[in-house]
Amino acid sequence: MRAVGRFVSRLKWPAVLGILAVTLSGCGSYFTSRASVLSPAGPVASRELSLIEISLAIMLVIFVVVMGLWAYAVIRYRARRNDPREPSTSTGDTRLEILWTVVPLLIVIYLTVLTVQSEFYLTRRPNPATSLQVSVTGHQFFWQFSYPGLGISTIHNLYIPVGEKVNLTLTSADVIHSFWVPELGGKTDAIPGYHTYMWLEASRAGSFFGECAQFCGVGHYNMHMTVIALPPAQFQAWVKSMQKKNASSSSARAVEPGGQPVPS
Amino acid sequence: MAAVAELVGTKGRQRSQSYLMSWLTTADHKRIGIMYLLAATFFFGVGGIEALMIRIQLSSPGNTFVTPALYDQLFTMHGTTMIFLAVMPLFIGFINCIVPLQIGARDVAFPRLNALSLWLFVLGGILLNSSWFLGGAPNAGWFNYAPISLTPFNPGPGIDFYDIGLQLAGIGTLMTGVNFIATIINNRAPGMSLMRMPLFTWTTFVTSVLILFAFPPFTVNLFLLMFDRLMGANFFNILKGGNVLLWQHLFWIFGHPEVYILILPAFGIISEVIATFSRKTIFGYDSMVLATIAIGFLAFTVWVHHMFVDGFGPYVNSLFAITTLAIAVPTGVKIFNWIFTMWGGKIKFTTAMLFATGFIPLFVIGGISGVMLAMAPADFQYNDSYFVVAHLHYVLIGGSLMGVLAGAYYWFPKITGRLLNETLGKWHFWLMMIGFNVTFFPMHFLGLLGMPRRVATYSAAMGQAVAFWNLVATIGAFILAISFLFFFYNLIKSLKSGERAGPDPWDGRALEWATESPAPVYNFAKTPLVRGRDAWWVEKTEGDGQLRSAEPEQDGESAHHAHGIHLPTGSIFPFLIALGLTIAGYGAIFGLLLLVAIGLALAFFSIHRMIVDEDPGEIVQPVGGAGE
Ligand SMILES: [Cu+2]
Repeated sequence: MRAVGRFVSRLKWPAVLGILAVTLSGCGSYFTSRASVLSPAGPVASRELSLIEISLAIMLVIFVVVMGLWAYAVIRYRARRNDPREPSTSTGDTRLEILWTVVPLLIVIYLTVLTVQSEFYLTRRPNPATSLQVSVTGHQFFWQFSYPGLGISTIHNLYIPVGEKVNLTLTSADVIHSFWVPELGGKTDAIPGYHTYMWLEASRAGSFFGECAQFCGVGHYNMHMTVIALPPAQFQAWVKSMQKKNASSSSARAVEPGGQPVPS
Repeated sequence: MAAVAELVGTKGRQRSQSYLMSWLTTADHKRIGIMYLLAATFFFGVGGIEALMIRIQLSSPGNTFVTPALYDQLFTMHGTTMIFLAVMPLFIGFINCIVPLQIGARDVAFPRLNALSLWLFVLGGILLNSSWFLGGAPNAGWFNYAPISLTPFNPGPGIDFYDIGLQLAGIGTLMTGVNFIATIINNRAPGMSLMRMPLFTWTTFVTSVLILFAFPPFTVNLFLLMFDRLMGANFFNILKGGNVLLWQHLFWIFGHPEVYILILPAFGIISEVIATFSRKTIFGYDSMVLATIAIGFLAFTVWVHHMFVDGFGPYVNSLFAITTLAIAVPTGVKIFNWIFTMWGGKIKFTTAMLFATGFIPLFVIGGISGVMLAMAPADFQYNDSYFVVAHLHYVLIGGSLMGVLAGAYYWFPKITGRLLNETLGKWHFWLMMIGFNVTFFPMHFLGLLGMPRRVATYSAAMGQAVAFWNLVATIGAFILAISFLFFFYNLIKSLKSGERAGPDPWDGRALEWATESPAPVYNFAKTPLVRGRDAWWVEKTEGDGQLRSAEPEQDGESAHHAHGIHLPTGSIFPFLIALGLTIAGYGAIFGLLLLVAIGLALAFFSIHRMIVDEDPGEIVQPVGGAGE
């Protein structure tokens, strides 16, 4: 267990990943997209990607070993013309069988440790006093975001400040949806009758494409959103302008500039 | 069909009925198995065409080959059909044809119940597919989550067809599970102890136990949904105090064991085929049995891994990640045992063996992505993306379907008496390996590039990589489809003019190879005496190459020549029960209470008759053959 851990931590991850990256980028833009898990822009997506990479690396080692044994057996022991060999009469080998039970078990235990650590890190809710609160509501077929502390509500576009943890509380107005912004982090379902939680953080400014990942009806394929991460000062300015618009508007709810009005 | 009839199950039996009636009333496990295989192959074709339409639609961004509304029906029916109406009944077909032979039995424990299982599956499948012509097919995915399956979001009849079609087929499957548990416990030939059973029989046994425990929650779920949709109940309606996650829990408590119901029989087939063509006994038999039981047990402890993004929190997710990861251990044991069965063997690469060896790398890839998916925080990214689509097809095609095909090339001669053409078989194998990997390997990339599953189309703005890999997958799907044209042509051609197989074309090890091909209606002229694991191999190597009879010899002639063999007679009532329930199902879907009453009356009348009618049995005289 320890040994496996040391082995994995001693691997030169940057080097391994570098080789992978070169291989992949060698293939041009065939491994990039508008919303790729492989290009994280925040600590949540980074943590998830590192878990994906470590497990993939371990799995590749296992794949090579198993396929090596398989290929050897298939090539070495195939019947040839006029083959005088008699097939072995072996029925098993207890030591081997213990070996290939115990070694996978140790690998599984190691993966379990990684899984549980990341699971607790990713689901630990940030301190509400120091993090931005956003309520996310899934509708057929659009996303609505409201900032309870700020009295602002938008649809389609979620504005967040760079470098700050954003605490999302999700629910749905109709059927189950799933909130997914691959570059910022994995999914959490928005479930009618429930409130679910997740946090995100953007470590750089930019806009990040998001989608509904749980099939929610005929418009599911088109249920998109954009997360717009602004430097804190710009974010504050955006909040002010929205609040001003809110105050001057006769409508009870604010509308994101350029966006569609929130259907009531 | 005519060719099949010529070959199968008519030997030694008087033909007093019309051709059609003899099939509608049969209680012979071999004929029931053949009908399972034929019907499931038909549904496999339907599901395959749906898959091709999906791939055409996704071949380029913004495609309008089908509308989003039709697309939703296509992916729902593709998944539902392949799982419930194709792969599972293909296995049940082989189980019916082969397991009674492997344990030296005359038939299954409850032959007429077996016929009822078949007809419920066939008519349930027809009812489900008739939705295409009667107001639209189901459109909420094969796992049909609430509340999108409820009337307010889904007013058409599609979901009712899903509900009632699967209810009918599911009851049939449940009875198959009961039947084979009873058969394997009670009908084994003398000397066939549990730890001498062939591994296909073992995996059938564990599969049957999984069916017995997994299908009732599904049945309950379908009833609750039916009450909600047809009678205004509120089990899933949050406005009236219902709960939408109730469906998900009950569904996956069924749904995860269902995945193992779809893979354990394949494990059994792979074990049989690899041992036979390596000319070795299976490596580590005891650990194979233990691993099968362990996988079966763990199957019931992992269902929340389908719900990692439901926000249950770190304790629940960690627990279910651990149980899921644990399944890798017994599965790994099986992989190593197969490789070491080949090790030191003298491997003959028939088409059946190609499929069995080819199964290993594909299933290992599916297992590897399975382990990666089990790590809950990573699953936050994979969940409901094309990564999952890739994984499940590596397991269901690379695993289950490769097992089905290994079984098809291996047992076709036993079932029909003729060999499948090996040249066409090898074309099928290699084209399928290429087509399958070209289709599904890129889907891993698509998932990581941010493509959610079940999208009717995607925008070119997603990037050229997404468009490129989708096009590659579509090309692969057509290669895969062409490989199956070779298979279907081979089936038809070999059935008509294939080489005669003889009783034991592969120099087999288990008892099915000790009787004629196809097996006579009574399976074995005398109940065999089993003297070891690999029962037939033992007789060929240590005995005189003849089965020992477990029946006392009488002077001059054996008891059977004096008295004949007692077999169950067929009955039309299993078919009529299934027909009545199907009619009632249509009545329920369209709110026609009179039709419900007529259907239920027919069903209950037939159940009553099936219970009170005594089965006089039928005495058949064995004619020559092995074991004499
Ligand atoms: Cu949605």
